[in-house]
Amino acid sequence: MNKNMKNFSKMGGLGLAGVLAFGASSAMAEDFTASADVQSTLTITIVNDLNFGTLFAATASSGEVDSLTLAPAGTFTTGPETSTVVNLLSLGGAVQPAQGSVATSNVFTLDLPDDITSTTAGSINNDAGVTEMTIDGGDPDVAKFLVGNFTVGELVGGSDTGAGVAPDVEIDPDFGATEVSFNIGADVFTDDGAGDGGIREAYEDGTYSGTFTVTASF
Amino acid sequence: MALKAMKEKQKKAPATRRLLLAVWLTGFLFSSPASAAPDIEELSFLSFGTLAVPDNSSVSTYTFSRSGRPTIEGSVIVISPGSTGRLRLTGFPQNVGIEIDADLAALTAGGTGVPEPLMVISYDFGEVRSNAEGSVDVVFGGTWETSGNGGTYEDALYLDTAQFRFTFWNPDINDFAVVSKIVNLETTLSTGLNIEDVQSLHFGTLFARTTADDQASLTLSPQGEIALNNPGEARLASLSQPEPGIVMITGAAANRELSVVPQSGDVLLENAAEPSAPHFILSALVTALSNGGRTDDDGNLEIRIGGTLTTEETGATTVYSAGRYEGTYTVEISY
Repeated sequence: MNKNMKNFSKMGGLGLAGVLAFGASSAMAEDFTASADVQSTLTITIVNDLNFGTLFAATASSGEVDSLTLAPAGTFTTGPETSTVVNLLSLGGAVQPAQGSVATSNVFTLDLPDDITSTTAGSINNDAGVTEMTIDGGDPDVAKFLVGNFTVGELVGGSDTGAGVAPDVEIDPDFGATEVSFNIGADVFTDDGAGDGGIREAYEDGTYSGTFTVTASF
Repeated sequence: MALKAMKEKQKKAPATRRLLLAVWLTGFLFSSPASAAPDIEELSFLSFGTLAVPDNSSVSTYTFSRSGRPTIEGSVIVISPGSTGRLRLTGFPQNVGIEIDADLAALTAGGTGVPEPLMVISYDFGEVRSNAEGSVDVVFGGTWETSGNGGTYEDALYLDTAQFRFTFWNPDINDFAVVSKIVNLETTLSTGLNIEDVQSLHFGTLFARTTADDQASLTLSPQGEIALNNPGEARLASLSQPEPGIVMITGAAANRELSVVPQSGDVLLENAAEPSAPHFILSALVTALSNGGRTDDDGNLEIRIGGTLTTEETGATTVYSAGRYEGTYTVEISY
């Protein structure tokens, strides 16, 4: 199965964060050309990257993580992990879910990164479903944000058939529609990779970014 | 001869009689303009018009009367009307009947004499009589017929000339006199149709996948509507709006039903860059004709073409390679 992958960037930040696009007979036998263009992959057009806006997170802990869930609709709710030790808060800003579109009138599937197997402190950091957001410059001593559990919603021009294997979503374009647009939200967690000597124990003001991949296929 | 006898008689006449005759002749000359030399001017040549001869397997006849009315027997179609021939006769005797007979003619493409000829077999003059001034305008039509031998008439201007002889009683010579005139005849044959490929049949951008057992299909109606059928794992996904073929027929006979027959056999659409790659099969070509299949007042007809595109069956599931897939289909168009 051929696929085309699109990388969406996700950003978050402390303080002010940036925003992440005829013979006799006269019969004429005329020849005409018939053609078709084949595209062997499906193209996802990125409308907006995922932006968690401005986040507040002062510290990170190896023992506890806090989290927020950004729904495809663009609203924050409390995430799957909570903590009284570390706080992760949304301060608003240019919060927006990832937005993309696929030009087709046929059923297709959006393949998202696998969900996080375990979101608890001590395991989430090494979970295969995690995408890291690191501060610009990639200072390894600065705490990261961990992103995962991507969800698709806010479909325009199509609907979820429910036949997709989560987190993948099978989308059936509406009758007559030639394009389906969608939003993608995700959970964001604080880092649990803090170590001795203050490594990854604190966040700094700046723009944090990372990349995740979404694939559209028939 | 009559004029010579008159002159001999004049030589033998006494002086007084010669004088009286001279006076009489002088008076005649001054009182009758018919004594002027007859002259014939071709005001307009006979054009039978622009016609089509779709079938020459038997003799067809086309008559364009002096009143401009066409009469057809057989396979002749009028695309645009012609114009009658018009001759101006002057210098004829007053009020005299004029009998016209004309040679037959063979109209050939470009007047080259190369077959197939259109044989002009008769003319339509009506009764011709000079007026008190000795003049008259002659309007005439004619009839031609095809060879009927199965030969093909090229689309061209067909030309020839014919000698017309005008016989009339000339009181000056007390005998019938004859004058002649070479006149031009023409007709244009335009059996072929002007066909313009306005929009090629294009199934848009597709994603396609073959399987061993199933064939996906996309049916595009002449109006541009699509219907997809994706059995099993075979796939045809329409990624952009397909466009039906649009062909314009122009310069045909007005308000005439045309026969439009698309190819009935399959057409393979292949990727020139990858000839061995899976191909598409175009079948069930269908047309939709404007105005119920009749040309409009200007001789135009729009043909819209749709069809069904199908994936092929292959031994293993295969995704079609990116690129353009093309094939050629035929549409037969005739009167």
